[in-house]
Amino acid sequence: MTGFGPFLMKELREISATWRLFVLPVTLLFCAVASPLLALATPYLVKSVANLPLTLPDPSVADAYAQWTKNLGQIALLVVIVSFSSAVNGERTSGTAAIALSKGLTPAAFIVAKVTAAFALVAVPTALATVVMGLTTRAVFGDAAWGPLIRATAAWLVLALWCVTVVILLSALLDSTSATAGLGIAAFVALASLSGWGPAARWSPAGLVNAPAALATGSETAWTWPGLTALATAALCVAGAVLVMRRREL
Amino acid sequence: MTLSVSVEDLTKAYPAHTAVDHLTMSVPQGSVFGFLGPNGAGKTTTVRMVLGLARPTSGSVSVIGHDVGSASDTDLARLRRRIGFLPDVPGFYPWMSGRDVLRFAGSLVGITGAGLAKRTESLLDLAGLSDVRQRVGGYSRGMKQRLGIAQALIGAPDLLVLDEPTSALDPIGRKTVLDMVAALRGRTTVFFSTHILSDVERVCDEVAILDEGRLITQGSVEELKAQYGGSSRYALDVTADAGRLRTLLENEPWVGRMVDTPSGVELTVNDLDLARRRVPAIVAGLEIGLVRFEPIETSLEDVFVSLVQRDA
Repeated sequence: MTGFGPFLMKELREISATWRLFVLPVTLLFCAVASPLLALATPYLVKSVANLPLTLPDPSVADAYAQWTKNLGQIALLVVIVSFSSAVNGERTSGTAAIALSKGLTPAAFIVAKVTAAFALVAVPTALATVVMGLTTRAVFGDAAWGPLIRATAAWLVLALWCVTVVILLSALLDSTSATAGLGIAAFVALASLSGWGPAARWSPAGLVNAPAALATGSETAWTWPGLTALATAALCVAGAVLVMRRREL
Repeated sequence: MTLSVSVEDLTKAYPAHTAVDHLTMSVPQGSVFGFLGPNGAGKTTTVRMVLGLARPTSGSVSVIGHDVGSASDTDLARLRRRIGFLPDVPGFYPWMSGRDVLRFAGSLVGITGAGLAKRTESLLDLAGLSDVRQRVGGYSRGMKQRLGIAQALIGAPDLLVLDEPTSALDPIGRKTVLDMVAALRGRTTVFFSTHILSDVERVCDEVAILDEGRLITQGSVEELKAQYGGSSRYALDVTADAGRLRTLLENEPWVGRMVDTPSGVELTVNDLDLARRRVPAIVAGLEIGLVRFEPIETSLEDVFVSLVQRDA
């Protein structure tokens, strides 16, 4: 892992020096603020659009949390996948990887630093956005329990980190950034399709797709095995990316 | 003789072509080694294999006494810290400043603290980039090339590998780079890959000429000139009437190929003794003045062209 520290520092500085600092955190913060407000406005919007004398239940904290997990599972996850699609192949095609590796950086340090920085870029804004989400929900609906929100967001975070490692493996394998993003999205769609099949939902990372929504409502959803298998397959993806990085010529 | 780089029977074959074909050569320690060849000769592929960035199909590469092919990742990383490398198209992070690039490069080779700061400033100064405030993304090609050389020197390497370092530079930038390379002679080994013959002639001690992936020859510049250039080309300059002189020379048995020059001819001499007797007589017969009749020094370009054409 020679060169891990300097390369990780470069990765973290790159986050703050480029557009990556803004896209994912801004998306997450937007979701955090918009989700409770959207939940509050939804009944009025439905009534005005449908133009019918409907009786809809009053919006609640559960609606806000459901909206939050829906936004995370769709918008934020898409941003995560696209954000990291050039993580490895971008450096390979621009020639920066060749210079860094020619200075003694090992392929393992290169990949692990990328993954570490990506995890930080996803986890830190997610934590901040969760706090903003909780506070906004309280401001809109009054008292709101933190537990379901934190558990739901934690389950989504594990899913997001799993997606990061899959995208980084794809980025190591493919030269095209758009092909990487496309296959990353396809991998997520495949996982979401698998989540409807019982055994896959119980024992594989597919169980993480619907877990946030269930946890947000306070349901007792077991996501230990999906979480553990997600971590195990994420580790395999990182190992695979290192192997690919070692074997591919620069 | 201690060797910095030793390449044995090295081959790199792709499905469509063989980029490097059973190449064997050696780079003496402390030399400025010119690795010369036309575009597509296999120079960059060889450089990548020397650095372990590409794997040979067969053969071996030893750098500073270490076999590159059998080295572990850690050993290879340790070895690479002793090598400075400038790729033909250096890639930098566009958001970094030149100072950032050198600090990052220095930290990767293990330099930290005050030592890194001092070395960074000194190399920025050497590259003429001390006062440049803009990000690398806004640099010209020449500035990037100079920064590339500076980053290659950051670790005070035992071996400096430069792949086409002057190809993108203007004459002043080129002179700066060649002066920098010349100043490194004896302090570090420089592996200088290029297709610009005059650069090699100017700074290199030893030269290997590559064509279509194969080594054509290797030796010192002087050895190659003596071995392949010959000394049969002469310049004959006169004060006037060069056209009539040429007509007369065409009938002389000792004259080979002739090329017109503004003040006379360049000619290949087959019998020097006879030429020495006949030239003054012919010139006197034309009642014109003889300015010079002397051998033309063989350039590396003459050697290169004759070797590459012969090989083809």
